[in-house]
Amino acid sequence: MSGPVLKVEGLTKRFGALIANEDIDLEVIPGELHAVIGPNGAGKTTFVSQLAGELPPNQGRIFFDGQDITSLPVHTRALRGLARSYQITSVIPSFTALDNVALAAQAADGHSYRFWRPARSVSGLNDKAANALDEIGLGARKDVLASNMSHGEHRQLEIAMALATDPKLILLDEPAAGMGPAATEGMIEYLRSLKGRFSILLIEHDMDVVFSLADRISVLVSGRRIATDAPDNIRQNAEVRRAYLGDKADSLVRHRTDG
Amino acid sequence: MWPSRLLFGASRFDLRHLVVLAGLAILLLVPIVGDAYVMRVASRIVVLAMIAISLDILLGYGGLISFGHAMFLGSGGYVVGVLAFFGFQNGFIAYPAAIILSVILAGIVGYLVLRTVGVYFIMITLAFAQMLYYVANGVQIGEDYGGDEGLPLSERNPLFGLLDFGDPAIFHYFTVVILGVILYGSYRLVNSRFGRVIQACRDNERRVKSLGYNTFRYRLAVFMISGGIAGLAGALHMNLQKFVSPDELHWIISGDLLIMVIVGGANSLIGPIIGTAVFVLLEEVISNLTEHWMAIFGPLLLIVVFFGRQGIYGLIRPKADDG
Repeated sequence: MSGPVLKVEGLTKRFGALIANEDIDLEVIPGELHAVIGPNGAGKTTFVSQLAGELPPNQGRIFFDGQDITSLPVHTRALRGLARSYQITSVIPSFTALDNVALAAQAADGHSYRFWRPARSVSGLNDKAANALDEIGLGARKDVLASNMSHGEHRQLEIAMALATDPKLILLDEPAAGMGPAATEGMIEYLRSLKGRFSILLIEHDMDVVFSLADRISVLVSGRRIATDAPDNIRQNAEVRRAYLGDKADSLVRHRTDG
Repeated sequence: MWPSRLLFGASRFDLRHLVVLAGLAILLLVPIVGDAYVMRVASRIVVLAMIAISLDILLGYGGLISFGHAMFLGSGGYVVGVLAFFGFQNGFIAYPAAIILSVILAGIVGYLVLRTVGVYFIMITLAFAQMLYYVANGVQIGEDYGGDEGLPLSERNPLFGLLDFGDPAIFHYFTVVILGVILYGSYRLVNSRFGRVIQACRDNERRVKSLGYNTFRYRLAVFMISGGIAGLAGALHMNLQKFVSPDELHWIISGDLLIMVIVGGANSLIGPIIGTAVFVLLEEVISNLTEHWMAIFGPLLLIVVFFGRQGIYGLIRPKADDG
């Protein structure tokens, strides 16, 4: 595959008079980890909701894997390989961790109109789910009900579910939201291990996560994309510093010289 | 596979097993030790338990609180009644027809009501059932049949004379066997791949969609399965009473069915059976004492709901058992 895995053209979303996303163009190259950053209210979540299909855009087109998916429903996009994790934890609380991930694996596997054989006896799904949990560090917790897991474990479970659907592109909406510093460090390491294996669009608030992981960064401010570039160039970009980073600009420069 | 593991997911013997085995023993012994009245009550429990199970598949497993499930008690009954009126008595026609038409009805109703969620779903299922209640009231067949008079059944649908349903005991055993089949089938259903998706939809439909499932279709499928089981129960109910009337479709019956499921224990398959037994027995016993039997039943319902959100079956479940 030579073209971009995701291509967004002129995406615009209005809520009444409020323009949440205005004429956004964006491309994700296969294998790339592309981050989208922006201050609160920049329209990041609106953007990712339109990519996933939960919100219809007012204008613009979304191409996934070369095909126009702008008007496809959520589940069809997911089946084509567009997985997502949610900023606010979204798991199946009454299922065990293993069953949560097996549910995701079952979606990719198809064959869910099977009414007789116990789902838990399907070893292919269980094995795939167990591997995904092992990889993200939840292997020992696979038989724990999701409702009994910690916030940090939920964040991990979210991502294990997204990966178990065999995605071509993963939309990660603030995967480290609400995690402590140590857990965030673990999440960064895990995401680093995914680099190259999957194309990732990372929506993130946390600068440490973004600048240490991303191949390219797009900056959203007030619903508009004002820049897309490599992390180092984003740090130097005068417009980004003025519009978004503001007084944080100095600390970012310092961060770079430290690193 | 051990029967206990099959029904309870546990291999230890506990209070639940005792209750279930005792219940089964009573159901099997009733024709031997009980009189006609007792047997009639027992058969009624068995038939209504089927529809309670079908409602719990929607409510406890699917998270879809249908306040119109009596429509299928009616659809199954009326299919049998209308077929009998036109001379089709054979059970091998009547029962499948009741199931198929109830599945179709569930498909049509489900297609419309499943676009709503939560309290809107409750209200719109209620509205559909009431609509059918008035349809049943209005449809006149011949000069003497139909309308608010209902339809009679001169004799129970014979199965090519294989079983003599003129004998209430044989009909009773027949319903017990059907209940067993429905119970086992439902157990397989809720634990299948399909059941896994349905239960996930109950917890978090948005997430299930984002994993790639067309949740509407799965919910429509489970609504139709539930309607088919309930339609069969409706046909058997008609055969038991040899009579069906619009009252079978009334919203009060839909409410009674919800009470049976919730009191017995939603999200279990044994719970609805226990709930049905408790409901029918209390109705029989207390309504002999006073016509305001709901005044006594209401507080009992409150007590059960306050003390255990899992219903009676939840109360007898061992505390350590989380599964």
